[in-house]
Amino acid sequence: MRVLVVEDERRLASAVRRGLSAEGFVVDVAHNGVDGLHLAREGEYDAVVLDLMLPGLSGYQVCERLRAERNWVPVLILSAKDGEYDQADGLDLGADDYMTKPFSYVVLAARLRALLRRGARPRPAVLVAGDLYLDPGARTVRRADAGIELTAREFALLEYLMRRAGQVVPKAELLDHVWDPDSVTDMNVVEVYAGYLRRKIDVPFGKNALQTVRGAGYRLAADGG
Amino acid sequence: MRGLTVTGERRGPARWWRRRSLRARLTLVTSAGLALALAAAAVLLVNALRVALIRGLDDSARQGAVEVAALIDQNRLPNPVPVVPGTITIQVLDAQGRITDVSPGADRLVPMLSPAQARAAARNGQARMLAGPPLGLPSLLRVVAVGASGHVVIAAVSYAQASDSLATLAKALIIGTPLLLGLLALAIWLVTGYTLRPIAELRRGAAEVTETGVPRDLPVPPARDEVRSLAVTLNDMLSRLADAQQRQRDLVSDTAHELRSPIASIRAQLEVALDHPDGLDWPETARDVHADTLRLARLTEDLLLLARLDGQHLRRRPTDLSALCESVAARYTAARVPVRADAVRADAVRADAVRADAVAPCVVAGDPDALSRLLVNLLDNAVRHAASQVCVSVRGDDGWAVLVVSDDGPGIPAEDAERAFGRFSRLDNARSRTGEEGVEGAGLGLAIVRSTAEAHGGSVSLSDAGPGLRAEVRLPLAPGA
Repeated sequence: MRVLVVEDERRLASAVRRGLSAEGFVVDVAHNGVDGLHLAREGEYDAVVLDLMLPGLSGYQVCERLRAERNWVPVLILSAKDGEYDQADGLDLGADDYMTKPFSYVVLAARLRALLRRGARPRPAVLVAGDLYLDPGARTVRRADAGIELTAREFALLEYLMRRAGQVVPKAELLDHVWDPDSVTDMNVVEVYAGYLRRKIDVPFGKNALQTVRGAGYRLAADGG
Repeated sequence: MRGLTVTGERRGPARWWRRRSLRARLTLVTSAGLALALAAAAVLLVNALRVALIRGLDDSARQGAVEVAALIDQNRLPNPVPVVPGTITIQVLDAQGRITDVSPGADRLVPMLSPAQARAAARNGQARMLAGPPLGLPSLLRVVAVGASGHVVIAAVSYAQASDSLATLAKALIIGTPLLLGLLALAIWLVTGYTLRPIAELRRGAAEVTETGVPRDLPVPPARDEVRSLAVTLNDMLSRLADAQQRQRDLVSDTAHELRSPIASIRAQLEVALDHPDGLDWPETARDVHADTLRLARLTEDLLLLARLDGQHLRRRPTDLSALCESVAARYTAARVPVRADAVRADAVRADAVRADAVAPCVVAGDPDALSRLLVNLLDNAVRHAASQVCVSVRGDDGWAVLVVSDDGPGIPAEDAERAFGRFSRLDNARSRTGEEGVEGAGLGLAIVRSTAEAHGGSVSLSDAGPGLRAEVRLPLAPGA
């Protein structure tokens, strides 16, 4: 397994490299954001350990650019920033884990192994279907450049459908995952909200992304309609 | 505590008085003063009126008597003596003290004044007050006597009306004055309350600050009075405190962040070494951990110095900046690049790297330790980045001592110059982290330079030396230097 460590503290980086190498990883080290991004793009890494405060490019920028390029390599952020919002920002930008310094080396190695188990399947931080974008972190939806205001329920419904874009999702499943099944039992509520959603994301743009599949449920067109 | 206890133990009216509100005390004092003034005015008024009334009565009695005396002198006095009935009572005594003539209704047998009294009164012209009833008259009387060719004319007028007027006035005053006093006290109470309201609001604002612990502005009253200046002063104080609090908070959070890096490095190195001891180069690990420990130690020292500068605990005394430069620059003879001190005194030419121009001493009122730390930080920074040499110079400039440290290294872009002063700032250019082991900056150097300069009432600025960086520190010259 190849791991890239992007860390400007040289002694820390070399200690991590030595430890991971001893556990059988192949480790490369970059000391600034620019080199780190370059290596992560070019080398086929199975995981990246990324510092946030880096010369050149910050860890946030490195992570964001990798995800924008649909590079799904697992990223573990290792930072002295321990603020709640620092951590939330890092994770919302597409990182998979966050550890604050000083850290336990044993836990770092274990978390890396866990990341590697999960693999590098696509895990977009922003959901995309054609020109329809949904950012669960920022809770925003837009079509091309036009922002769309959705209620919390509409947002949840769209998010669920976009995660299964191109597939037919039965109404019962939507009811189970978007509504509290104890309080709502009427299947019609799904139809009502599907109508609301269509009026916001499709009708004004002349699109047909949210499609009704008779007798089966709903499908969100993967190309955005 | 002792003072409080003593105050608390004081008993009686003084203690009671101290416990009243300012408003109550002001109202009470003013009302008491007013009460005294009003009472005095009332007494004066009644007395003045009484004197005036009596003088009027005396004058009319005397006029009556004089008219009768004139008739006697002309020997044309009719019997009875002609008077307007009910206004005046006249008795005429002869030399033996017998009553010869009276006005209608007057006693013919008993004179109002004994012959001796009557003669005395006629001589000195003084009026007397007599009780009426013994003389068969209903009220108090004002009595005068006037002499006339062997006779004495005694005239009496009733005092009843005057005394009624006085009684009415006194009654009005006794009822009216307290009423007026009450109204005035109420007005004072209201006006004092109105005047003190900004103070109450100030108090409420201050209480809120105490409760929430968040320093924020107190209400400033619109009137340009003492309370307003108090509020403005307090607000100024609060904003200074807030600034200090913010600086402290920033320092703590920056510190926490910056201390984590060496600690994380030390911890990772030791944990990896313990986890995988085989084939480990222990001396190298020890060197690395030692380097991180030194960094931690220097960081701690810098933080303590910064905290001291923020708290303004400077030991200031007249310090010659030129001499200071000379001695600090002398420590750099073994540095990476030569350090040229351009502005030391002419007699200080020593090392070949030192070029000296004759410059008068630049004396500033400063803390020599803090100032030499400022210089060391600037020189360390310059030496770290310089390509071939570093220059340091001091000159006087219209009340300011100007200290310039310049190098010929990569410099800092103008847009980053301000950011370079931030604590732990890391610039994304060739100048940041040169990569040589052991010379990485802790990021506090320039922050200390700025804090020191500002604590001395000066300033620091960075500019392009083309190529390289030019740091200019301006400090006020000591007065009289």
